[in-house]
Amino acid sequence: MSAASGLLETHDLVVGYVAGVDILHGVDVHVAEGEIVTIAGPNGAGKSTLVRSICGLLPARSGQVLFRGEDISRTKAHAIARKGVGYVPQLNNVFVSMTVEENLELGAIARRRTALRERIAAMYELFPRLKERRRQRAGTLSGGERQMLAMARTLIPEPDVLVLDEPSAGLAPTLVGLIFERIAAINKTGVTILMVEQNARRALAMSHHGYMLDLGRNRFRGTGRELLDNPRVVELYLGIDRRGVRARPIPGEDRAEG
Amino acid sequence: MWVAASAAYSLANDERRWDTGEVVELMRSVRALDAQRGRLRRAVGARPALAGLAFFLAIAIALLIAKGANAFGQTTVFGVVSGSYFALGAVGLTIVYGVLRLVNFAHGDFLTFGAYMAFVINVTVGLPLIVAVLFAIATTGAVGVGLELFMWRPMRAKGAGMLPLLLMSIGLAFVIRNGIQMVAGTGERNLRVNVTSTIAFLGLRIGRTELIVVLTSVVVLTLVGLMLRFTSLGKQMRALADNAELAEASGVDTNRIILATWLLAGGLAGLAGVLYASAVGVFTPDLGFLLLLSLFAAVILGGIGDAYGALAGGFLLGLIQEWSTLVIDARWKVAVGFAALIITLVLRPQGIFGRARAI
Repeated sequence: MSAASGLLETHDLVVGYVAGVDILHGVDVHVAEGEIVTIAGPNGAGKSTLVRSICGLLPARSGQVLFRGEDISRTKAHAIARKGVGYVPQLNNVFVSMTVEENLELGAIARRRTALRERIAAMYELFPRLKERRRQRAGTLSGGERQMLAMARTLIPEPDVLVLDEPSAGLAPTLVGLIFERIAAINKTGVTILMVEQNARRALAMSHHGYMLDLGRNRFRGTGRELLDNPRVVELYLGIDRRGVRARPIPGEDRAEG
Repeated sequence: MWVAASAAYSLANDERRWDTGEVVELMRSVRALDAQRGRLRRAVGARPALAGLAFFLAIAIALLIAKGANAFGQTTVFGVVSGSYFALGAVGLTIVYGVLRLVNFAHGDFLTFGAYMAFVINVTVGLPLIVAVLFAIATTGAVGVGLELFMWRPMRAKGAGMLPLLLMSIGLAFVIRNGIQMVAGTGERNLRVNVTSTIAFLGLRIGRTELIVVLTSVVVLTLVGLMLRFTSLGKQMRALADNAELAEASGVDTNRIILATWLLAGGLAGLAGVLYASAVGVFTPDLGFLLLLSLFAAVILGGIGDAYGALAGGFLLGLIQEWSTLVIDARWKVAVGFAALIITLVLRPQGIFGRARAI
């Protein structure tokens, strides 16, 4: 598993919110350059906590987060963003009081020497919808448009790795397909993807590697295919539905996890 | 609505039997009335600033007709003068709230501090007022930055909530005011400004100093507005005010932007203090404390956390207070200002320009 070109890794990562209560009990994740890696698992597994900690929004209690071999577990979130880790939260991921274009302009903060106009034009090509809406306040956008804007803003500074927390959460089924298609297209341009996904079948099917997280620990790891073919994984986490959607959504699962 | 209500009343109390056609007709007219009311409400709701402005203009025109052009014009001039330092003070107060969610009760005393700093340079040392103004801006800005570094940042790092910070700001207000009283005494002071020479135009009078105060305020506020709208710093401030965590995760060095916010708010407060002291002519250590509630009123009138709203709110408040002297005694103008605030909030809790917060 330990490929030489590890871009982003965690070693034995322990994280929590409340004193004395750990949410992650030592999680190891390895993301190689150019890969798509999915972290799946049931509600409350600590998936969002893991990516928030990687991006510097939650301090690690112990363990390491390595980006290009450098420990960033004590680095502030804005400095991590400036190193090339782009993070798209699940909720509240756009600046609602600012216009679409201002949101995109803010993306450039993470890297000063960005050819801003060119990057914005490239994002409008990737998400034509945003171009139509560019003078609109982001707060007036639909859920799918917000997700697109959040991804576009994070891509403006040309990050090495894009960290996505539940990119398909709360979206209409037709939009889910579009978002996954765009994620694959972004990966094709050389951006490494680390995503947390509720929609595990679909995400794993397009991933080079995947992790099943449960109660703050790694349970299964493997290539996307291996996990999808593993009967234990299917039985425990993926349900019996073969259409690529969970048979019965767990109530409240679309909301942020603790 | 009254028509519909009285129709419903007579419907309920009428001995006469109503045939179905009549009832249907009546219900239809009630519904039409409701729809009309809904349309009006939506029209006002969609353009609250415009509706507010229309209402405001209607009052202005009524006063103009009732009281004559000269009286109306003169109170408007006075209103713009007080509006200009209300607006300067309010913009700093609202930016701090927007970025930090901190209701800074010490902001008024920042104004006092600025006025006394100007006094030191202008009167004690004897340098020209312009030097004193720059000194007041610099020192009050520095006080803002210093307090952030030694008080607010450590408190935030400890996870202090809104209430402890608010109480600390009230305490800080007393410390600054009493500190000034201790050093400078409680007596009245004046800057070396010309408060007697006036300029007349179109039959209206404005003090020469007052005119300079208004012009300075308008220029500075325009620059601040442009800075917030177009510069990288301004965009980062707005991003931070919008969603602090997302700003940090997007690469905004939030601690640095917060320092810049304090520098800006402090500098504006210092300037506002000097301008107030210059326009009014005399001041005491209570200057800022007495102004603070008006600053809050301007902030809330415009929509809390909205810099453009505070700017407009400041000038609106100044105009409302001075115009009210046309109708009732000038002693009550502050109360009239707050009555206007209360009425505005009852109709529009988020302020005239504020948007109901999304999510």
